[in-house]
Amino acid sequence: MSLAETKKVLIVDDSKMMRVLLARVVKSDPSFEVAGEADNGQAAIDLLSETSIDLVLLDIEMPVMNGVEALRQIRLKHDIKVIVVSSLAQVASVQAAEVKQLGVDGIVDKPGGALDPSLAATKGQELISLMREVTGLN
Amino acid sequence: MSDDFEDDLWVLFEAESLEHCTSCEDHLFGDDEETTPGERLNKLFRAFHSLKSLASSMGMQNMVELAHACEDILGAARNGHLSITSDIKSGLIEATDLMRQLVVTTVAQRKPAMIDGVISCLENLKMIAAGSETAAEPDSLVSTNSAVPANNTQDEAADGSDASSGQSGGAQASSDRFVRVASDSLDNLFRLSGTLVAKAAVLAKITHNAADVTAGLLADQSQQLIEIRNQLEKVSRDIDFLNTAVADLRLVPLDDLARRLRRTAFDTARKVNKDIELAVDGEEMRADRAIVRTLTDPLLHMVRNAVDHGLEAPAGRGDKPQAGKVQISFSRSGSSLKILIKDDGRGLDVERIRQIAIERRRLTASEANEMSDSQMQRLIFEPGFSTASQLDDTSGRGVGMDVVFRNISLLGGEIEIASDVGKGTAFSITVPGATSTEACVVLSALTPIYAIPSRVVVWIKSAGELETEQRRGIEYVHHENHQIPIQQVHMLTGSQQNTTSLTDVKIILLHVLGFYFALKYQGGVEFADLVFEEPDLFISKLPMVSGTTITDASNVIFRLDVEKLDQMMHDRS
Repeated sequence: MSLAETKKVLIVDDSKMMRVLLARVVKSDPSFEVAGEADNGQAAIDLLSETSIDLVLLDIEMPVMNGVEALRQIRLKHDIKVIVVSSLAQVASVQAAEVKQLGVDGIVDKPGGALDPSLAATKGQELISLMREVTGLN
Repeated sequence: MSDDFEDDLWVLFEAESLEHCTSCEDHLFGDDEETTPGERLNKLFRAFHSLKSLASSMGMQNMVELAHACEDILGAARNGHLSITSDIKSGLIEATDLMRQLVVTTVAQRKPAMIDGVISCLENLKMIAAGSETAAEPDSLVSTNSAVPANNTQDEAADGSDASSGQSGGAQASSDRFVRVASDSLDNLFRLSGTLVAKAAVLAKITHNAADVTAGLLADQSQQLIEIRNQLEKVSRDIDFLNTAVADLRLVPLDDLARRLRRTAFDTARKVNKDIELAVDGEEMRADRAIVRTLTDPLLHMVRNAVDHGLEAPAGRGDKPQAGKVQISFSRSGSSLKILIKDDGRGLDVERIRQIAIERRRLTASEANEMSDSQMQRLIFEPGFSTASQLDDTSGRGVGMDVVFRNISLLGGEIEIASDVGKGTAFSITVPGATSTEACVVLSALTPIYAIPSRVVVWIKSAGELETEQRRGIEYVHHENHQIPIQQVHMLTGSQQNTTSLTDVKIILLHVLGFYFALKYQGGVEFADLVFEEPDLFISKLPMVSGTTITDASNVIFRLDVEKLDQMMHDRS
């Protein structure tokens, strides 16, 4: 695969640890590269206006600007794929309903941890397949 | 997975989780008036939610459940199905403590830990959540379709306005601003830097003398010597800067100490069934690490005492409000740290102290009768008197007032008592050399120049933008629900207002020890970090000065004695 086809991913989560975990998952597939990180919705919006991004991995509960509001703004200004990565998204929460209404491309649970490599691998694989599907790589 | 990666993850996990635990505690006990209850609930909810995600990513099921239970309760509170009572508060704080322990143990063992108390705490939390309506469960608020209840859209709107006001999430911001360093390494650094200063001084002296005796040397030799001396002077200056920077590392913010004091006050109040209203001021100040460490136990003891013994039982408070007031404030006077611990309780019973002193043959009856009340009060600092000072309590405590007194004396500090029977007791502690720079607003259009500590400044606005009101010749400004009389700052300080500048008139709003003060000032303001010294004898007679400093341009700056503002205002009115 040529470099030009690499999909650029922006990771948005207020937890540094979560960003590290997600970045590892993203890097595990050579079709994707981490083009940026943001620790809240506002920082993500700012970054999007100056960097070209193909896919956003978006957390919901964040300080300053939450994921729902960030998604609303992304939908107004950009044509970018967005996957919501949140434990809130899995259950039938208000937020899940709202992001669905706003037209999210995918919803996935947060990746599992360092303690159980097989669980981490399964959840990582789940995220990668969703990312490939959303960006039309499959 | 590589070990390095796993190591990084553990470090991040521990730091982030503990930070969220601390912010839970802060929001639960917070007395920050600027945060509305709604915002506080939101922040608490977010903190517990983050803890849940972190725990889940590490596979810590018991912590996930604890955090989830807390989240449920706050979800219900956020939607108005439940109000946070002190019982619920203590359930949440218990959960926070358990999570903190789980994090520490899990990180140490590198596998999910189980500790005592989790199950009973969880049961308690679930009972609380069940006590609110079943509809309060956030998950059951909405069915899978996209209908969104109105009250929740409001929550989202509140989150949005959070963003527009530019408030940054404390937790995330601070995780990047602070690093943890082993205290041994710091101590080592202080020592090395001190040695370096001393050695550089010796070297500078030698070369200085050598360069003066150049008579017997060849021209280029003496030239070289002068060059060495010049270079060494530059290095010495750098070493001085380095030493100042290293000294700055010794300073720690007081918020950690304040958090522990707050916590102790609430825990004690709960234990002895008292309601308290606690105010903590000045915790954003910084002070020397070693001094803070030495002061911690004495202060914890004094706060416990204030709640347990200082305050009366709710029934015995007479006309006073049921909730006893306890005030803890940190301030600065010159380079000294001042700490005030004050309650509005029963006050020290001087007669009782006198009796005990005589009973225990510490004093003869005639000695005791000759002593003034304030001398009597100071007897509580005598060894063996501490239990006697706890006039209504038979249980002894680990550390008594004599230990408090000794620790403070060890630091070269002083402690004073002001106590009125029925009105309360105030302990004022002064510890020298504990503090360093203070961020200030400098009023340079005054002669002499005055500086106001930035921490008490609420805002500075141009008078033109403000609506003020004139009543009986006094101008008032509104702030929230307060009507604050405006004072001319030059009148207050007895200084001269230089009116040459064309800058507009400003109103500076201060908030000190629970009171607002509005000052009118004409001229430019500057911001500076200043190091104040104790005013000398002559200057200390000036009414509103609590410190002096000299600028690079040899101007004297007086520190406005904000801690005495209320006294001054009362004297004048």
